[in-house]
Amino acid sequence: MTTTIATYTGVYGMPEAGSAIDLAWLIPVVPAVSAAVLLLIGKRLGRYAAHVAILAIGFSAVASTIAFTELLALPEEARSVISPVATWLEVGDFEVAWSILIDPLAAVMLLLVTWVGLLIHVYSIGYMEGDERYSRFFAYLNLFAASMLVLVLGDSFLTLFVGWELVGLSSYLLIGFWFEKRAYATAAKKAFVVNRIGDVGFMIAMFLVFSATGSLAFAEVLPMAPEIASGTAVAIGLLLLVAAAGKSAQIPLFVWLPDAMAGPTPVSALIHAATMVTAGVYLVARVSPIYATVPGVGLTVAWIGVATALLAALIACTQNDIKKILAYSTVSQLGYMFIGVGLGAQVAGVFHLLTHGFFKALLFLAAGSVMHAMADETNPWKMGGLRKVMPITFATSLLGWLAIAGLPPFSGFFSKEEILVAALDPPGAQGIWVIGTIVAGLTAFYMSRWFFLIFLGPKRYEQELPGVHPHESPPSMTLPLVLLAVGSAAGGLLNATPASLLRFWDPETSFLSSFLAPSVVPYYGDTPFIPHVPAVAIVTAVAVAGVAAAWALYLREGVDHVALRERLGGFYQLSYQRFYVDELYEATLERGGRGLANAFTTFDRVVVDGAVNGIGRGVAGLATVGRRVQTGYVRSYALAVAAGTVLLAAIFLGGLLNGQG
Amino acid sequence: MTEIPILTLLIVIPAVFAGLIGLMSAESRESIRAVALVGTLVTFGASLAILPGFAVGEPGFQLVESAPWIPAWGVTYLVGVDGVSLLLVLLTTFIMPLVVLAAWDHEAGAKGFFASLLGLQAAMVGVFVALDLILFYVFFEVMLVPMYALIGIWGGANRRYAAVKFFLYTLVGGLLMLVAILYLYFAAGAQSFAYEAILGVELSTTEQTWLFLAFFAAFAIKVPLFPVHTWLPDAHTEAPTVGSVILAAVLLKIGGYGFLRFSLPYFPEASTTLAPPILVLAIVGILYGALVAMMQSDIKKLVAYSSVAHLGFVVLGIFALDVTASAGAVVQMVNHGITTGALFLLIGFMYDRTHSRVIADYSGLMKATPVFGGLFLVTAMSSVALPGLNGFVGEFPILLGTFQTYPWAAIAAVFGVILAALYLLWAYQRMFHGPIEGRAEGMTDLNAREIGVMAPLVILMVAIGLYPQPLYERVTPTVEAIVIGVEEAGVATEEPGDLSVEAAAEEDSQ
Repeated sequence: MTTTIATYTGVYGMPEAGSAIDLAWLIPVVPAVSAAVLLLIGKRLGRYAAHVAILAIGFSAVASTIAFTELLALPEEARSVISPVATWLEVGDFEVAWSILIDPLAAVMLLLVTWVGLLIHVYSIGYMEGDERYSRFFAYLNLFAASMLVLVLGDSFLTLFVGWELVGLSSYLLIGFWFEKRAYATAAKKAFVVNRIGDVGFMIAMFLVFSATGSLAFAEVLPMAPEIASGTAVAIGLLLLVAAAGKSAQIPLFVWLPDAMAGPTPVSALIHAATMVTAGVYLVARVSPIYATVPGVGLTVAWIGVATALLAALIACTQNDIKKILAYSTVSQLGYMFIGVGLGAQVAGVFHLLTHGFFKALLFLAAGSVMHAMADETNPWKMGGLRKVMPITFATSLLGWLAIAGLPPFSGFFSKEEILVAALDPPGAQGIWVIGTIVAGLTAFYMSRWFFLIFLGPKRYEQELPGVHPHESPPSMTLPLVLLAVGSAAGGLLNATPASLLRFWDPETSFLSSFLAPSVVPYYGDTPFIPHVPAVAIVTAVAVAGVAAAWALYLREGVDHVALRERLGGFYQLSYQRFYVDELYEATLERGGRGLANAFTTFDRVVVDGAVNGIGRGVAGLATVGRRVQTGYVRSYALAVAAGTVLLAAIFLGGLLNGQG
Repeated sequence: MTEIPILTLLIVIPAVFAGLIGLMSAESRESIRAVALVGTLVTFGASLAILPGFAVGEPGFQLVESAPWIPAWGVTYLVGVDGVSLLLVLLTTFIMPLVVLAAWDHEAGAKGFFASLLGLQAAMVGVFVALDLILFYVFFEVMLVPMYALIGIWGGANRRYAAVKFFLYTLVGGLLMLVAILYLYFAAGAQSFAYEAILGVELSTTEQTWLFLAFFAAFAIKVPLFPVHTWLPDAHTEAPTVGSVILAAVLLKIGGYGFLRFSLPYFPEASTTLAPPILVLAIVGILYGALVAMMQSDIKKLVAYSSVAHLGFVVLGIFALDVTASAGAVVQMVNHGITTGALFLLIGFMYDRTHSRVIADYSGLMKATPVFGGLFLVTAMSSVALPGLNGFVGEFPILLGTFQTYPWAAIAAVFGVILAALYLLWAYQRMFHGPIEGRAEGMTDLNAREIGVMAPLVILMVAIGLYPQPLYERVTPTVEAIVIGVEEAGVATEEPGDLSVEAAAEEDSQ
């Protein structure tokens, strides 16, 4: 049975004047100002542009941390704080302010975004060195961070939406950073447009929310959630799902994310690990009081999540590009988070969001480090044996790999298990658990493939890439790797205790569960169809099997994976060609849309305008159209103008005379 | 009456400067443009003087000036502003110095050219402040002459066709409106042509419908609303840059202004009954305009069709008959003026250098001309209503408000948001991204004057996007009074709505 545990109080307080929470508006504003400065005068700053940007995001990170500690010091029921900054829009009954909401959910997001963001800024010093638009890159990074912080701190649907859209803009700029290559520019546009499709859902959802509650502020809307008519709540939930699917790259809107790998690698780490893509998950968790009233919609969210997780994992198994593998892996992992927040286990979803933020940022940056060493090569088949030449990248990647593969005691194990355990109970969710377990095996498989092909085995690059002499990256790049590796390894401690291993989400003993309680309304049950411990054991065993399979195929001598590929035939092609989803959209939506646009354009010229011209000719009695006649035609109208002017002048004159008389 | 007749001055100053240019020698191009710049700057300065005297929160007309004109016919010289016209007057006076500065290097027939600009300005201000219908009509028609000249004399290759088309369309609409105005006075028994006098006229349902349609014809063509929009792409494409800017920034706004000023208050019953089909036309304009924009190979034509889409949002907001939506529509008119004006300016700067507006002629502009590319991107983002910039704070209230009265209309219109991103970003990608090729090769970046023209526009895009209250707090009371007037007329048809009393009460309660 599904039960609702009402810890969400719906009480929002005001900050103490002068506290970090009171001044939290500076957290997004400082990087935004820095971005503006860098865009205007960045070129003149040269290498110092990076320092300005890092100072700005560093400020946000420190301020976020202080705000977080202040929040911890408050009594639990007073941890939702709204600080008003300025009025924004007041039109008739519609009012939205620039206000900031800091609550536990926002606080953990703040920490993730600012600290991982800071590490990625630092990493970029080395990675982007020598780029002709060096300062602009840092400006965009700052802009991106500012946008994401607005998204996290917004106290209303609309201010969240502002960040949501600005994130879309800054990702457009970052993905298309090397816009000289047409394919990259296309990828940037695709990301923006696909996200806009999701935005339509967001906007209509806001219209409905406003109609139902007369407000868009979370502090007013969320406590009223139980009073919203269930039909409306279902519609809001589904529309927000569309929005979230756009940002978080879920079926059917995930197609932008793999292409978005066109951006410089730090961008991938920032956008596809720690920030942008988590926005959809954050949104669903943020409005959990609404989803709690209609659990069926949450179940839909979870099913979308697990379907996406499976599809993307299957694709990731056969890709031959180290960034694309990670991209599909991100899509797949986001699917897990959707399962969590969809099934009412928001804490599990957010937990996975955090651990994934660590290990996926790490893996992307490690991939960047490898590319840096290999003249931007991305094909893992041309690598191999990098273990010795890039020891730090190797060691940190090892931890990232173990974490994402879900092996204990690394962070991914705990967060993924929490999500899957949540699927043990609700009616209609058992299938989610089964598929989610299969995906766990696939994840272990494709990430092992990634790791083995890059770092272990023979040094294929010696033949494949003559002239390339791989080397370890500079400290500005390896230091972020090391710090993220610590998070990937130990991140499980955020919510894992011995007690919670046996029975998850124990608010008494695990930090994240108790801390996030005031922000979210969980609606899970407590009658699992398999007991927790055996369930966890099964998932772990499947993951180990995935690692073993990859080892057998790609490391052990003797098994011919090429022959296996042949034998799989159609299945392999389906995965390798990414299930032809892009082709399907191209053939239907794109071609259909273009056809419609073409038809309308012809219609406009021939029918609408043609009718007008026809009338014009008819009226003027110009059956024969010639250059001369046309000139006469114009003249006659010039005459009409003159006549009209004379007439008007007459009226004026009449008026004057009349006035005197 | 105030001591200084500011509104009259706003009409007189540009007219005097136009006359001054008329007296100058055609050879002295540099002095002519200097005089034009001074004239527009003085007018802008004078227009700012309205602000201190304008009481925020008052819905009705302020700073009213009147003088007898043709008493025997009930025609008065009567001008004044309310929240709606205030913004449009300021938009006009703000944009004109920029227009003059943008045309700084204009050579052919500079005397007539700059005199036309100033004459046009006088008429445009007149249209927005006139509170007598004959006076309004006079300005409405007088405006045509300099605009016709701008397109027909200083336009592109196909300028004559475009100019005549523009002229004919507007003239036909205007004449229908004139007939309606005359009917109101002579047949329906209005005491005079004064705006408020006609408000009191009682009309049968049939009369309302016909008169509404006559006014509607004039304003729908101006907006322009589908299917009477085809004059606009031609006019925009053929007009010189400044002609396009004025057309987009100011002239199109007369349509929306007319709906709010005349159509809704005079014919509330007809407005209510005919709103749904008008909303359909607005939605068609939004979606159809965007799709047709996408397929254009000429960037200027693309922006012209995008105007059809944007103004569709404005009409949607006005005829949604909701305070939030209608106030949003007025603010969106200002936003469209700023943003689309800026787009036309940028295209003009490019055309001056390369003499091509064909999208396919360009590639890699972002690399070749980063300042131009950056400004174009910001403006494009404003045009696609990115939150944080001005377009959004107009578009969102329109949609949100429309959803309250006509949910289906808002839902249909929202899809225009995707299409806007598609056509603008696609064009942007083709022209600005990729390697430097075609006419982008060797193209110089914007110079200081051009950046100076763009700077105030970009600053306004950001400022309005972040803090639109100065606009809304002036517009909303006026719009509220209009919408309440329409609603009350719907409840008690025998009693046409009184604009001032209820609205004032509504304000007090806030």
